[in-house]
Amino acid sequence: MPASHRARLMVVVGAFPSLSETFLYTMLKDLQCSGVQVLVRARHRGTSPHQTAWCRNVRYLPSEELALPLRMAILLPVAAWVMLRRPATFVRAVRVLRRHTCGLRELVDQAYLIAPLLVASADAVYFAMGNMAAKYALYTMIRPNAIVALIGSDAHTHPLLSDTYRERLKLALLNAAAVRCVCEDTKRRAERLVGGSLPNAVVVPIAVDAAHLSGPDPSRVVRRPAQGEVRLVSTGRLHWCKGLEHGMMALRELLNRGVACRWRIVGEGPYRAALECAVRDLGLGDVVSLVGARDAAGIREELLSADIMFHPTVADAISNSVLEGMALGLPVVAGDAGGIREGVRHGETGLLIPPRDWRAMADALEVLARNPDLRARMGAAGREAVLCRFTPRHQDKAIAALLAMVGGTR
Amino acid sequence: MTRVAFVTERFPDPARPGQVDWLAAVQARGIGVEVFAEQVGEPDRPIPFAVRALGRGRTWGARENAVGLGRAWARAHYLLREAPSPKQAVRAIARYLPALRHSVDLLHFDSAHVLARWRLLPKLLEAPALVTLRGADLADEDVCRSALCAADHVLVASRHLLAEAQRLGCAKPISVVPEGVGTDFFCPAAGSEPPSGAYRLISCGELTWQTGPEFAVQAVALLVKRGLNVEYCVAGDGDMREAVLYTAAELGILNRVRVCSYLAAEVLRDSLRQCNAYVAANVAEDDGVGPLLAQACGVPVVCTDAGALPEMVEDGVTGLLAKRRDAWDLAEKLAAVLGNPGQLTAMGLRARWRARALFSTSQRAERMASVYGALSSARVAVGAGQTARIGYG
Repeated sequence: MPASHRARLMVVVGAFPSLSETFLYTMLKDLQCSGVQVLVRARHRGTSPHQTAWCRNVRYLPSEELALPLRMAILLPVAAWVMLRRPATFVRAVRVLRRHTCGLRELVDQAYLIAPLLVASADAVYFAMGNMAAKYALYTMIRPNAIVALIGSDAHTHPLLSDTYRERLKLALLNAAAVRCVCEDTKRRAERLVGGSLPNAVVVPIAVDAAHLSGPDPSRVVRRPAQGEVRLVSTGRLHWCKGLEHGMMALRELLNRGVACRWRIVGEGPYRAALECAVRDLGLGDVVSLVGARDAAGIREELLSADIMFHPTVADAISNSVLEGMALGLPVVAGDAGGIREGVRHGETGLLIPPRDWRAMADALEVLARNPDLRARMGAAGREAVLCRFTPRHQDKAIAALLAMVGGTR
Repeated sequence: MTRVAFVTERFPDPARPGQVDWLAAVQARGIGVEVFAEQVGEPDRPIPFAVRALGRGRTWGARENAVGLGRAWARAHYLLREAPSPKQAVRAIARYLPALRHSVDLLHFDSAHVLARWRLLPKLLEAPALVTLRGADLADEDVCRSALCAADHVLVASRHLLAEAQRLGCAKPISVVPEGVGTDFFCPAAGSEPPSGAYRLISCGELTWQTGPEFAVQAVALLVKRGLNVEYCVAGDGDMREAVLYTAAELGILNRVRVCSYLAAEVLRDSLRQCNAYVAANVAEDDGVGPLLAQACGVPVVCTDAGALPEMVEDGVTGLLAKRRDAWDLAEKLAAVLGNPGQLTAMGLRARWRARALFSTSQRAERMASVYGALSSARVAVGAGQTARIGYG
């Protein structure tokens, strides 16, 4: 491949744009800035407060809900194109489809799924989440340019739900040219899933949005508590795995101990009704605000006006929310789940507590609430830790190595 | 004969094993029952009343529709006239078509959400609307408020829900009719001995955030940590299945937690009979009848103090109540019950007695028949050709 060649990376996602996965947008934006051609292929349109106009090459894959004759009408010309233009790929696809599908119906369904990916000419295909990789698992067996990213729930919770998902993901992981795991914990889970080591797996931590890292060091700014209250903030999708209900129990306990505090929860998601119920039930209406989704600037503003990043998660890989909080000089109180400890060093950049243990959470919050110096020290150490490991520069370098590994040199 | 249409989301509902029984018992009391369901499933036994499918793509065939074409036309005409645009009118006609040819004296909506989805039905069929306010409805208070306004009469299953309806500003008459379970079918096995070996716990019903299944699994893990040999069966399905499996895996008790889907009535009864205690870790009202089924089978219930559970379970008599969202308290109460076999047996006996006395199908059917009778007679009293339409706005 000539040195001047601009790598073309096709990114396959579920919804685009989406409320969550801000770290994915950070990555794509940085790659695009550094000269990689990013082509986004999404299964359906989503909504997001985040600005995604920078990504111009977005196409939506044909709907899987179309009636069979319509799908056939789409599939046949695409298949003919692949047969004429890429006969070797076509032959391989037919072989793989015949070997890994049962019956004509499944064969057509799978062919319909992977055909649009076979047509696109990209140096590498990046499945942004494990569930995408599981869905398009057969693609990884046909073309040797697939990178599978494991970002959290795709390796933590989804494999428990369905045998089919587990088998498909296993197939994708074993056949992909490279597997990008966002933390060591996720890599361990992936290896447990395939029942052995994964030589193609690489740990590439996520990067914090460069906007959070520019400007004066926020940890040096003395954060003045509003009217003597300590201000907690959480950002992220409202989902059971964020453990926010346990956090509310901790907050009730904290208030019972006489610590004045407020908690702003930024984000949206399917667990809102449960959280609203908990707020009502625990009498936290005056201190907890479910503020909804915010764009990157709004999140930055929320983080800058808080004292502690509170992340009572029960299931996580390495949390982008936590890293963003650390980047803006916030000490962290987080559940010691998944790969959180790879981002937060207990006692240095924050306090880790056993997941679901609301009494321990209240203890940790009380320690930080009563000690502004400790908060400032941990905040500064947190920002330092992010600058050392989780910047776009670090991620960019690692992704470049990954692209080189699959042949799409930069 | 009074004709009542029971409008529900799915029928038969695997999460409510007693539903067919009480509707059949109402029919046996001289009230004509038919069910309009958005999803019609396969019944596991003969159903003595008509079940009709509602919704898009569900029609009853040209011949059936042709029979009631005249009546349907008048009602379709109303939709054409009232709809904001012809496109919406056509959509509404297509949607309501299966119901248009029918004539009933009373529409009983199984939840506020169902009434919200089929809000034109009372007007089209010119029948008063009775709505059951369910715990799951409370997650969306706007839907609740609009349903409470649109209905002529409100039904709740507990005093807790009565208070919630009043909090939401319900100005319509409200009847409290507790849930009922088939206490003749769900009963302890004859001459059964308490199960030996590992302590067996069970929960059944929908796995939603309201039922707090994650807290139950955490409590079981705490019991295992204390050295108790416990097995836990979760019979049900829902959004929180993932949370149950993940929590069990993370806390190292996946081998002790069995998550199966909804069980057929016989299997559920046998499973309940083999258990030492029933666990309900609810954080909010969920409409489940699991605690009642367990009590009918003579199984004590350890549950939280959420929603109507304190009305279903008498604390210290038929089970124990724990604080909601507090797995430690739940584990404490479970340990107290399991660690005292004498108390376990006594609670089981009292639970059985209380279930028969307060929550039997026949009692529910009796009360429902009187509610249906009172509402339909109020409609007749308004006069021929008129209906007791209140709050159609």
